[in-house]
Amino acid sequence: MNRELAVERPDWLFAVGPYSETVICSGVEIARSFATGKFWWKAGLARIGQKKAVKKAFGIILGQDPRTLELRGHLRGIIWEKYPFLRGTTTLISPGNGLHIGLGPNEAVRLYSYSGGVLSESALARAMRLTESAGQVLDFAYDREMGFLNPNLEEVGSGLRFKAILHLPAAVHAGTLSGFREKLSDLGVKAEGFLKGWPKPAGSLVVITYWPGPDLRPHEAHLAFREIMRFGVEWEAESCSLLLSYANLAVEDRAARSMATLRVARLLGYGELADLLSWVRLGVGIGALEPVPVKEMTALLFISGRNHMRAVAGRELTETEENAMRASLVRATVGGWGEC
Amino acid sequence: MAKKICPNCGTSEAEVLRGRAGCPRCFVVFRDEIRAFLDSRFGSSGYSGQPYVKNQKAGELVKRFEELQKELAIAIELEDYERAAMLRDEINKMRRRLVS
Repeated sequence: MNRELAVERPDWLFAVGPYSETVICSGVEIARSFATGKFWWKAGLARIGQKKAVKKAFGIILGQDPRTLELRGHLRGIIWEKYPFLRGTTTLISPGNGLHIGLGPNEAVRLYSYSGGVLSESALARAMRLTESAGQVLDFAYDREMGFLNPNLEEVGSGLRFKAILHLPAAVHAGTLSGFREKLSDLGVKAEGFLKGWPKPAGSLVVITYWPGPDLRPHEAHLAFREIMRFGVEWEAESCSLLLSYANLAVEDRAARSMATLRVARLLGYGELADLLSWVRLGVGIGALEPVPVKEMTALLFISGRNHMRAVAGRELTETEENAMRASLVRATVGGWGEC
Repeated sequence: MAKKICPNCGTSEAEVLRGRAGCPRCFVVFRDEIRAFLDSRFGSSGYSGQPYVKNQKAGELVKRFEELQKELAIAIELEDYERAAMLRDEINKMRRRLVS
């Protein structure tokens, strides 16, 4: 196995929290924009000056030069796998404890706080405190009636947006995923497949996004978000009962075959790996396979993604090289898991 | 009838109706449209969170902060550690004031 793949895996990134069997990770984003000038998507070259101002402000607040906290290399690769919506245009400053400060592409500042399982209230409070501190150094766009002003009108008010990645294999295989999406839509929550796959998302992973709107206070919005998470967990549990009522043996078979494939594969595409891991997770969940730590399955899913592979290799990889590297990593990791 | 456009950033009414604003001025120019958007999306357009009270002296403090940092760098360069320690304490005190 490439030694680099085994380097630092920060706890906060792969930590497991409440309901982590279904809620892979969840978090909150807080958007803030400048009171003067144009918002980022309209600002053109002025963005450079705005970006400098934001970096300077966080240098003061954090007591450290933000350049030294800017994420690069393999850690950034992992984060992009885990939070694909951060990929590409966002510069990430990471002061630790699962907090990230994103510069661009739409607002002057976007604070991200993510954790394994369901986001805790303390994680939200920490992000809010840091945002408030930034508001003392930077001049944020604010209106007394509407609250904080942002380019995305869904983020006017508190600037909050909650996100989660849910693992819903039973809902996918029992055919109840569309119903889940419809129910969420009624609640104003958007659901889309991981890596844009729908109705069969890669690894049965579904990304959900919730905008609480201007009139909910952060802790109320957090409570509402937790209820949405709980709804997802219950939906998956009911789907699982349904699936096992008519396909128990078939599920056990797929889970055991998936584990066996992970142990011996020499080439593995990311989508295929995500699907195999999903079956193993389901197999472990229903007791058909020996227990495997949830944390390890989550870590494997995200350190085997394309961005991370490239970041570790330090270059572009051909598809075959990437798939071989991934299969090698998977064999080394799965070798330590119990027999199926 | 001519469609409204924000004079500051050029954002059109159509863009606002799609849920996108270009600058804080848009919220004055398209106030009714934005409130209607928020009402239909969330059932309310009124903010009920904590009011934002900006630190009026933040600009001065940031400027002073930068001066102190430069002085600290010079003190370290000159190996004047007594002054460097004093400046460091002052910087920390100022940081606490800014982020409290």
